[in-house]
Amino acid sequence: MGFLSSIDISGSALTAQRLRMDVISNNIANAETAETENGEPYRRKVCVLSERRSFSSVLGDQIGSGVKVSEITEDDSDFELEYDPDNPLANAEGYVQMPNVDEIEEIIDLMEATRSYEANVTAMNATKSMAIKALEIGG
Amino acid sequence: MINEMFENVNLLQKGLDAAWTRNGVIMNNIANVDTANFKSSSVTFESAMKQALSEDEIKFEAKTTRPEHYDFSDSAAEDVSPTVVTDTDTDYRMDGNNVDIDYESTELAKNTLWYYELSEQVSSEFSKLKTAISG
Repeated sequence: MGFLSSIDISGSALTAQRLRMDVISNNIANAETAETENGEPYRRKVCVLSERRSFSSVLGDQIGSGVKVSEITEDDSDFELEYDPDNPLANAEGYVQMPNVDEIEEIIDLMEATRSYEANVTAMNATKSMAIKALEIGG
Repeated sequence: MINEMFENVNLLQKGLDAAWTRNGVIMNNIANVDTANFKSSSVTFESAMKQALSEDEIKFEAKTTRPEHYDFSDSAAEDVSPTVVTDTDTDYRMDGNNVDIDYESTELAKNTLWYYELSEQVSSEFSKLKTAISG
């Protein structure tokens, strides 16, 4: 494990969790978006995290090198139906299809991402202080 | 003589290396706390080192006075290196991930303090040598 490359491990997690927070924010922002470019309501997006392995870590079967967002998938659960006959998008029965975003779920995911972000900041600070301590040897 | 002078420093350096490797492993565990099917790893070092040191204590030593004499003082402790072990047998959550964030945080705190301790030891070892050299 290189002197500064271990900071990149936590760095990759900060990037991944921040992207996750961005995706969650986008879901919350579009919770009421009944029409998108393809004519459907907005579909909830989910980040898929996977372990990042560097070439040397696969060869040596050693430590991984952090985490990455491998894909952002769409949640294909059913859209919500909302009764709103005055809406131009309403069908013959007066129902409008609304996004499959549950705000409570998003807020909980957001909290989880924030906590993970904080844990990684703590780990990064610990590593930084260890590196500084090592530089003080013999001083 | 010059080799003996740094014997303690070399041992402590192995400890520092192990602590640094462990730090990398803990960081990777924390980074992957939300990754599905990720399995946590840990580093074993201290028990192997302890065993090697106790083996060294009962080892046969011969005085070498000429360069062609065989050196018996090969120490087992010098060959000990940290090993990364992945725990593939347990599940902690429904998504197959087994990172316990509380455990990892305490391990991180412990490991950081241990690293501090070792680097203090190295510093004090050097300051002793400085005293011996400058008088």
